[in-house]
Amino acid sequence: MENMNLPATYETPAVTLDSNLGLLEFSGRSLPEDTTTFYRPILNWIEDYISKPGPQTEIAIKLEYFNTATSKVLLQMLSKFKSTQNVTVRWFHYEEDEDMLESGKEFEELVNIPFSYHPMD
Amino acid sequence: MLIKHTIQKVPMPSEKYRDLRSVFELHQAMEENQVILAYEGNFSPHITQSVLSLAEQNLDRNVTVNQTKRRAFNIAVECLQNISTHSNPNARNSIFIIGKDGDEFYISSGNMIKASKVQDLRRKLDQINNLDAVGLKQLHMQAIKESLNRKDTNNAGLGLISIARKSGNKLDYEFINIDNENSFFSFQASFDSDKETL
Repeated sequence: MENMNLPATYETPAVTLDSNLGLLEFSGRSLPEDTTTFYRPILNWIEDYISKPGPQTEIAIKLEYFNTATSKVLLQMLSKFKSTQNVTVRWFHYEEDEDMLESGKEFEELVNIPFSYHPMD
Repeated sequence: MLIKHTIQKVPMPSEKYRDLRSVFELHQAMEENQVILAYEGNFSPHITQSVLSLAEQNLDRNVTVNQTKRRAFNIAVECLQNISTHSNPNARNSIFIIGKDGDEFYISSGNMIKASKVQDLRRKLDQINNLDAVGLKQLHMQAIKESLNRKDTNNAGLGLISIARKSGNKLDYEFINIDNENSFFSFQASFDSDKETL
């Protein structure tokens, strides 16, 4: 399957979806009001990927800001992996951004995937 | 007839003076109220993004604590999206304001909503205002779980819950009845400016 690379914009994150590496990375900010246009192709890619996933899958989330519309899509996205083996979420947050750390912990509570937390400078 | 009509529409010197005076008066009123940013008009997606960008630059300049800056930006994002989500599509212009009052910053929005939505919105706001931080977290978790099972775009008040959590203060709001079908929804979230809250 094809990899996907999207550059960051003011309202949407940079996205890397690499099936060979088993890597899904989101970095920057995600503020779109209409999340469907941006995230539908990503959700489709994930559905394809989980039908024949790699031995290990890493989801790296390095978001500085996301809106509540995005939080719904993130949950939708992470929930798709509930039956996939060896999935981990690497959750990045600015050192002092306790809200972002807390958001990660809330997602961890909502989905059955192990999270690790990574402060950034 | 036509000429007469045209002549009548030309402002008299005194009216012109009054109009120019109102520019100064508006400017002065905004200065006195420490308005940092005010936009009144149409909120198309393109304009909304520009207003958000202006809000971000102004918050950057006025708020010194990074965490407060982030919280304020999050509040601005959700407020702007509330305007477009809840606005009556046939309605007139909406308003968005960022201002300062002593050590406190506030972000306000005002927009026309359908009168039929008032009761539900008031109920959500009152529910949020009756909760402490722990209660708000629980409400957020419940609302986001429920959102998974919903096809519609209604976010079950997630935006308002998020604003309340970032603000740390009660949400202020008022509905002004315009007519049978329309109500004006004024909303305000505040946050302490430079206090290290962490």
